[in-house]
Amino acid sequence: MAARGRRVVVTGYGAMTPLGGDVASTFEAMREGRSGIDEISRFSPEGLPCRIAGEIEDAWLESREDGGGRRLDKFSTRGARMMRAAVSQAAKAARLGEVADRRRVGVALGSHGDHPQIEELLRIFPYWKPENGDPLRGGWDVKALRSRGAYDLMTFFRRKADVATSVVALDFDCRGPTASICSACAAGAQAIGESARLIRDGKADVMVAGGCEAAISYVGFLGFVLLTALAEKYETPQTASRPFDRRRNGFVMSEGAGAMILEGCDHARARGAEILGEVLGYGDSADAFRITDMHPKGLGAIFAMKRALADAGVSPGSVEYVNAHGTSTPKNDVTETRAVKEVFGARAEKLPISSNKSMIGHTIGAAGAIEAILTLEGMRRSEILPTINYQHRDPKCDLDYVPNETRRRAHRVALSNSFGFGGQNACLCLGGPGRA
Amino acid sequence: MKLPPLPITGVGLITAAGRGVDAAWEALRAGRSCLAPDADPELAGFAPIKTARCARIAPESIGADHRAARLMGHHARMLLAAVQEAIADAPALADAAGEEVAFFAGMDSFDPAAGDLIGAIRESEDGVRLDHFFSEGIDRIPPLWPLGLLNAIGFSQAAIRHQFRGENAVFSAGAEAAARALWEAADSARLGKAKLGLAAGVSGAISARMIARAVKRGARRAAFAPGEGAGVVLFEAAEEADPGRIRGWLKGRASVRALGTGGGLAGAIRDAAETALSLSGLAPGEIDLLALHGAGEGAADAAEAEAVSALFGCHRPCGLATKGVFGDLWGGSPALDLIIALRALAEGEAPSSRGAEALRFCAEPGAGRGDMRNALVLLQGFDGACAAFVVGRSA
Repeated sequence: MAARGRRVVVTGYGAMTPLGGDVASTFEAMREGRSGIDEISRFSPEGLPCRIAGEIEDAWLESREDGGGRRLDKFSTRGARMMRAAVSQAAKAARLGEVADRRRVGVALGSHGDHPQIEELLRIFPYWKPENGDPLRGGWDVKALRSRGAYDLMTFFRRKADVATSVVALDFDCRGPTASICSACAAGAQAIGESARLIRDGKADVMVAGGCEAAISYVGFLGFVLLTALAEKYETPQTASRPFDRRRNGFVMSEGAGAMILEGCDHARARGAEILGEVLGYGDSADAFRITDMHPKGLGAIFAMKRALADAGVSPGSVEYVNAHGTSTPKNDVTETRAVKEVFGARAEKLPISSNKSMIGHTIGAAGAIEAILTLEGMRRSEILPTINYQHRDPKCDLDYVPNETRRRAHRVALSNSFGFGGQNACLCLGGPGRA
Repeated sequence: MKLPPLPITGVGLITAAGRGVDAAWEALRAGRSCLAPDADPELAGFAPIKTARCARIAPESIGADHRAARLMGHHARMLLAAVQEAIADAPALADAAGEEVAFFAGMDSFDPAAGDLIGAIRESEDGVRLDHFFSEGIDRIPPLWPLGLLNAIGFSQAAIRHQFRGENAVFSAGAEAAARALWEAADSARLGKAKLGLAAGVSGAISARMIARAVKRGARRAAFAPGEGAGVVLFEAAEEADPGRIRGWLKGRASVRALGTGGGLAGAIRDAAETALSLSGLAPGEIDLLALHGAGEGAADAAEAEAVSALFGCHRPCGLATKGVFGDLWGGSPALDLIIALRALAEGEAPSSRGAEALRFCAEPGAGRGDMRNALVLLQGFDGACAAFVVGRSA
């Protein structure tokens, strides 16, 4: 992006993951190769073939919520609460409150709102009135439903895909452009990319960008169980997510949120904000192949990476690390490996690539944001986080996945990949703090 | 800063009036409202409501095979049909390589059909036993039902069907999301990131849940009427566009979010309009046609009337509001209103409209007949989000 207009820098970030209530504690746990995956406690997974997930501890959430925003609690989903906590950390680091013109502060978040819960559906079922004996046709007795208080109408608000964006805009007094992006696993990265575009094009000076997801529920799991996308064979919860390992057999669902404060470089410098990194470029694409499968040659992933590099004005040879999408599904990891080889050629063999999902699982709409933040934090600390549970070499996955141990290495340019269910792909080209 | 005008070289529209811009335009000109009392038994529990539903779209009419059609809700079919209309309107889109097409969409919230889950719940014995639901009912859930919870799926289906592989994003929900899609697609073409920038906006399918959401938003007045539909707008860089194919020009755009209450909404509408005008290099006095949000809701209408009055002063552009004919398409509204505004400029005619308070400010329909060059399109989304577009006549 530097070559194409206004430079976009990062002046704050915050996160909440299964390994910690903020970026520092998450990174510390990950550099030690710890896993945040465990048995599900949020609902009974009785009967499901996958009973593990990466959950956020309620205590972290409660301790990090900003007391000033309690008026918004009734509108907030669990995901939106995590988002507010992550934004609060990022806003504090960036001194967001000091930005005077709030019309120039926008919000773009990846999120999908709340899933309908089975309990809710069972509660309202008695108010379903079948028509002419056909149980699948009929109508709702809304009057009785209302009068008996059987359903909290606020539920409808929480189901909106843009609830996190609305709540964050209100909570942090952001009156500029807003966007709510719903591209599944690519949503968080796309939100950051779209925010960078808005700043680069002069439509905003500051953007709150990121993503959140809280889908550890029966309905949240059900879809992926029916699609056989989740890890079902594992010895322990902590070893279930094993990207690029030959024995990988699915991803592990997690919840979390990640937030970045993006800012025009000129704007950040003028107000003396500390620059933590830079969004150098953004590339996105669609596989246009199948809803449930990636393009087998990784065409969409290749386009996204090449576009991010072109957007950044960076050659493949300048990239020193790739934060992989690395879901631990058999198809994704092979396809992503193939795509990285296509983009980087012979150099791919020596390029460190690792998957944060080996430790924190897959946070869906938050993943792209959390992983971009961890990439920046890694550049700041000159450390590359490992891919844990890498024990058995897969001949089709034959790159340097930074197996099992954190690697100490200075690096200043990195890619962060996110490939969405349905075929939407995003890649961020990020620069470390020393560049801006 | 003035933005260079960007050609609009193709449009596609699906409304309750039928497929295509002509069907919508004729309904609007004739003042023939598509709104009718909705007799769907699923809505029987609500106060009587008028809706403007789109006719069901057969999968074969949009080139969807049986396998793809199983995953397609009504919203996905409307989107695919609107894209198909745009392809018919714009040979450049039909001829472009997938990598050259950037595709952005604003999609409303989509609800699982009650029928998909009722069967499973009935299997759980008396309908309220959670343990029985898990042990007995789950097998009744259609395997692909969970995909319906992702509102990016309809978008992906359109990308797959037409092999659009360029940059993309799905925004949700409401008019501001679809306005964002228009904006991003335009920038893709303008900045040369793609040869063609395609923007879509799609309403949700009318359902009990959709009505309940609207009621919760305070839209209790009889004037509120949901509609179904989808619109698609194609942008192309000025140096690439075939002059004979230009439907109009995008000259300016802006979005602003009003926070708080009171005069905030009127201020935000005015801010959005002034920013869009500034980017277009036009003064309010150069606007001949005003396409109003005009949802027929008290506070929103009043705010729009206040903003319009303050913005235009003594100048009286012709007014246009589509919701009295097509209902409120939410995510489908920005593309619909932009397309209709382009058609009105091309025809030199502002059809008689109804249902919006701000229309009282405007000149009588026909006052500007034959002499309209520029239009300002005003939009309101959820939670104080406002957007504005300035478009110009093709010639």
